[in-house]
Amino acid sequence: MAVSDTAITNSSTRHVIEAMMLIAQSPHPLGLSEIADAMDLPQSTAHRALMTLEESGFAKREGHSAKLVAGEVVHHLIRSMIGLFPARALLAGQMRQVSREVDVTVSLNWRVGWHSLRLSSYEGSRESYQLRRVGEARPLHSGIGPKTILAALGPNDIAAYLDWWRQAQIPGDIDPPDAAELAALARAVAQEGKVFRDPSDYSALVWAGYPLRGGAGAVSGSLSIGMTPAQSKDAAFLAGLDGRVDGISAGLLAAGEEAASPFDRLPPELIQLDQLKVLRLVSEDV
Amino acid sequence: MTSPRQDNYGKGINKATQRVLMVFESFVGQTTPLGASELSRRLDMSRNMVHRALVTLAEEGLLHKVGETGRYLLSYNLARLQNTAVAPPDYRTIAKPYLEELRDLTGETVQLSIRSGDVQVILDGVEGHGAVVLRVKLGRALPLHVSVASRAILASMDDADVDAYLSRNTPLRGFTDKTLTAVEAVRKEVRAIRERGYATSLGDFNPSTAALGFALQDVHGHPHGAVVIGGPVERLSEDWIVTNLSGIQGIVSRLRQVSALYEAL
Repeated sequence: MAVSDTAITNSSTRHVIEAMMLIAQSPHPLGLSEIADAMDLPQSTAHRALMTLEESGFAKREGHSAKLVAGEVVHHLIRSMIGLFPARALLAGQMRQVSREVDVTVSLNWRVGWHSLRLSSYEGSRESYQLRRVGEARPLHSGIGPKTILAALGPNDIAAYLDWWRQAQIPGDIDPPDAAELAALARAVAQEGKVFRDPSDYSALVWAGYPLRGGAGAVSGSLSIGMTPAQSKDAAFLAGLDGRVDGISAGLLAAGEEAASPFDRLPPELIQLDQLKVLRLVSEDV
Repeated sequence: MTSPRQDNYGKGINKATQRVLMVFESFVGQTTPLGASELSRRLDMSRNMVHRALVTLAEEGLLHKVGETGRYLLSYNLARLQNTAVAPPDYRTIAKPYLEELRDLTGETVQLSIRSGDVQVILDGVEGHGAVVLRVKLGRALPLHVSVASRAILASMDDADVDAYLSRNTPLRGFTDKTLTAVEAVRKEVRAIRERGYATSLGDFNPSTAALGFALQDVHGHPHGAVVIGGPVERLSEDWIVTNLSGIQGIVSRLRQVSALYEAL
């Protein structure tokens, strides 16, 4: 039998996928009428789409309400996608050790085109923590981890990034990139191998970003490390931290191609994460 | 891979769309590219149907086509579904559908335990159907050498971790005359469980019950917990195990797959 190359283009499938994205991206549970309004569909049509999602485990009722949140399958799929980035597993042991022994928060950010994807985060001993969700993507000028990647890429890539940003017109409340700030960060990375950011409204921590390089020496990601203001003023502490980060960097460099993701070689302009609706829901800046 | 679903619908659900979602769900835990032939066997769906579902999911940006191979991976675009306002599911929520599926298959009580230091704690459970079933004792903690759940977890720890447990806890506490209190006997049992792939009851805690225990690992390959199917010793005979084992193992392997996506508590 000849295999058809056509997609299943029936509107039901499109509606179901769109409804899944709306529910997954919403900061609060969504009801039928909200979803029908957002999709500009009659409630009966939206209802069928939601039943299909619920039946398949992609959406579920929130407690006893009729409102819907993402089902476990959606979370499993996001986690499975993170599993395609071998660096997470390669660096997990060292990152966890640094986080526990030095008592800092350590996040691993990986470059995906002009975005950064958080692959893991270890919180040290802090019982309450800022939400640093694994699987979150941000444009490269947004937050210390992504910015460190962009700064380490150097002036040519920063210029290309600024062009891309102007054309991409990403919806949401992310401030546009500041070319002068990025140039200063690039100089700091070139001279000191890291960048710092003071505590913000969102976080009482001081953040340091360290670039990570893969097999061919190309910038592939960054570590962002959150420390207390007292730790950030302690020269001996910082020297010790630098040494531990050097160990993690060396491990990644030694892993070479083994640490590469299937998406590392794609040209950044082909990666269309810029259409992220989720970005409008992002409020933190780390 | 499919999960048990509530069966309170039927009308109004688009079957073609549901199959697209089934194909999408097959990528849970998948780290190598998948093609239509393999998926059509796995899902018992026509190759043409699977192929069209793959093309649809790729067009929606949810799958990534690997070169011109006709094989697919999950797309980085799944970051679009991540939401900083929503917590990832807790371990009980992740495991619950599989506990229910195991209970429905066997009719017996199913419990979920996690390791907490040198003990195993019962975190959740679903009771079997019938007049005489094992009670779920939420929150009960037992040392890692006592009970089926404990020994399943112990056997999934690496040797250094097992040795450290034994040296910290010697002399090993006994609960019945069957409890393994000799260090060498525990080590021997650990080897037997690793060989067999699951733990069985020894009458070492409650001689009137029998159970099978399967270790679950986390994203780092560390012990996450164990799932135990248990009931009265008269019912869970050797014949019962022979009859039910492959069905149980099929469900457990899917639970293991999702358990291995998350960090241990």
